[in-house]
Amino acid sequence: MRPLRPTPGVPAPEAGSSEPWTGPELLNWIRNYLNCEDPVNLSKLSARRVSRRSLVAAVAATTLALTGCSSGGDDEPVEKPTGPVTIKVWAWYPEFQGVVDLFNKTHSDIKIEWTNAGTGQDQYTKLQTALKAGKGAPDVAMLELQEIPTFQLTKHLVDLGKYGANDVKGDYVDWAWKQVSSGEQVYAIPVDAGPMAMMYRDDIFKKYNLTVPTTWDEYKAQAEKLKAASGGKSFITDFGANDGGFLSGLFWQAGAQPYTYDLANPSNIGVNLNSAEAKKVITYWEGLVNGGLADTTAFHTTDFYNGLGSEKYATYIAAGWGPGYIQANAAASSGKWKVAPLPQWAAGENKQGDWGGSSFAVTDQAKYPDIAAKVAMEIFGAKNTEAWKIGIDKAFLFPTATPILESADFKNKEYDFFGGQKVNEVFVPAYNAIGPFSWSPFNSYNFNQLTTGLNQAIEKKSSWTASLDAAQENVKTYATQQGFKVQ
Amino acid sequence: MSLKKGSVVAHLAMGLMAIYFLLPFWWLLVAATKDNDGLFQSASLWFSDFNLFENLKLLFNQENGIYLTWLRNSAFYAVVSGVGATAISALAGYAFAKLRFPGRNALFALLLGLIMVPATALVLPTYLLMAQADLIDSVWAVILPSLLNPFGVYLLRVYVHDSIPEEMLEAARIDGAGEFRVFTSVALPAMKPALVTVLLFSMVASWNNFFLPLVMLSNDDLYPLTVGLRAWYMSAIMGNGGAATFNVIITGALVAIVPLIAAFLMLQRYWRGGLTIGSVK
Repeated sequence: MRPLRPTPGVPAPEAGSSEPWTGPELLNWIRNYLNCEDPVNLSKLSARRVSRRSLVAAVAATTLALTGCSSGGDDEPVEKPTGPVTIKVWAWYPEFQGVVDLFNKTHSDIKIEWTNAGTGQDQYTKLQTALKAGKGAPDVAMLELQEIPTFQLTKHLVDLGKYGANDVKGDYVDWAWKQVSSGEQVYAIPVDAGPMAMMYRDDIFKKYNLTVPTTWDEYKAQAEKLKAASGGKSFITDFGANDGGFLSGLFWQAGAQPYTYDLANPSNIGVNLNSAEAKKVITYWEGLVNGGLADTTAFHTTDFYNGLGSEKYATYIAAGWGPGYIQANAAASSGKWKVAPLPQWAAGENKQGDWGGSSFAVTDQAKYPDIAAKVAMEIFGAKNTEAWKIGIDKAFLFPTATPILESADFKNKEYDFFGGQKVNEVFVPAYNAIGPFSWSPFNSYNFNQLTTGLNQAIEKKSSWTASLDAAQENVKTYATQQGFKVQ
Repeated sequence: MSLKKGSVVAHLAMGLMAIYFLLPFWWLLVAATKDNDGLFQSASLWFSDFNLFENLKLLFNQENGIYLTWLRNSAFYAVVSGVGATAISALAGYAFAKLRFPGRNALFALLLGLIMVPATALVLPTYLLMAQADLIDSVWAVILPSLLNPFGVYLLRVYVHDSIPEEMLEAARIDGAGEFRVFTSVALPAMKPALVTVLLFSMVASWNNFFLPLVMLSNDDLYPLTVGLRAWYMSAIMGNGGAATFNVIITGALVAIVPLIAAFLMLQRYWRGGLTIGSVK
């Protein structure tokens, strides 16, 4: 599942925008509010200026007082159910109805009641509110991997380690399990991921006599060759600076660790957005863009899809969910694409990165957390091959569970869109070679900083690395304001 | 002569503004006639292939015709919220303008303050209140907050204050009418143009409302069009197939604005009447 922030088509407001009621700013406001800080700065509105402004403050104060600021949930003893239990699940996987029906058919004691409560941020907004209200949240919710720390920070996720989640640890590779756990504590069960690889247009490569690059240096050389041979008509690829997940995936491959964060120690965070590795990545792409070798159309836009379908882009740096995505959005170019491993920074290396992915978490509003945990582990579990048939063939998810990944059904699946290539022979080894990577508990702010900074640098042709330095400073300030101890 | 020159410039400026405002509508109209590939592969402001009827058929059959349910929900929320908000605003605005009661000025000042609180900012506190009352994920969660329209109260208070003479109400009282009779038989007919304005504003606000139903509702049978279309759009940009595609969503957006256009065309008569009444005075 690819990460969805910032929402394509709905541009995030510029940093410092004066309209705080939209997009990420609103979200930060919500987070502040949910943590019961002082979002409207009531303390700064002094009483001596009796004006409309103070009236507004009075209204705000009343609403705050009315709604109250209670802390934490209370631990209720787990009741034993009598008869079948209904478990409410929120998720936005495509073709999920089939998976739910399958589960309900094979379980007489549990019934899943599925709701598509919105995709990405829409669901998160609703979920955060419901968790805070103490009512209205589902038992099990789909969370993207990069969102888990954000949700666990307010301690609304149930530790699945208590309900046997560590027994399925062996079904997942190390990095994927670390995305959802801290030691023996497990906050979610991984479902799908997005190991990165390079999709390329075989026809364009043949037409201009290009060779498939294995390193980023070779990639640049091919880009130059393509630019000269096509008369500037084709670009080697599109660098979509509007997708924080894409940028993070590239940093991930280069070995950058923007955050050092462990949920076992939630108030400390290390911030290192402008590391040498991250700067290496950014400087490389700055060179491609400034040399006219890579386009900068935003990802997930009409122009971008158009470029994939026409001969504008010779490659697309993609992820494991890419085959389904590109098939749906660039149908015109079917059969012309192939997949090769992501180019490496040094010849002979095997370093990989991830772009997107999701999991199932259990909320503290689950009446029977043990049964909810069972649901989270089984819906897309390593043994649920029937569900994964739907997940792979219809929803085009890239599974995280090793038994599914290594199954012949998945590995040997031929994709017509890629001229019959077994693309998972590229994606699966890439997935297995990914290293650990931490997310911050304020990921929407993080992605917003990365993307707005880079977009401005591209527009104004200013230094890209300076935008990383600025993001580093902003995030550090923000984290300190939020009460984190920043290292 | 100079007057004519001025009017040419004015017409030119108005023409440009009209083009500016109509351009998105034109785009929507054109885009709704294309199929999914046509949307991405053809010029965006001109027709390529004509698929409007296929798109409409797809739209009303998508997910067992849930679009119709959303359309009905939107209409229901808009009518109930619009009529309810207008009724409450009329009562409150009249009371503020014509009745004397303790705390009138303080309450009116509070009302002015409420106009300045963006409705979106109140959604989350409202959610917490609704959670206490167990009304989340029900139609009430959307309708109850929409019934309160501080701006409507303010507008009607100003209108009543300026356009209904005290003598008229006095005359009715002397003729033996009770307070409620005075309101319904004398004040209300005189308020008609302002009432239509408030009705239109609250209906449009409710029809366009997105954040409130998004947060309050998770059952997609209760979604209004805004939230439903957004749900389709978000699954479409996931690009995983299965869900509605862009041509269906754009056609859905076109159909969604038709009732609004109809409402404006039908009600503008009253509206214009209201404006001229003011000018004669």
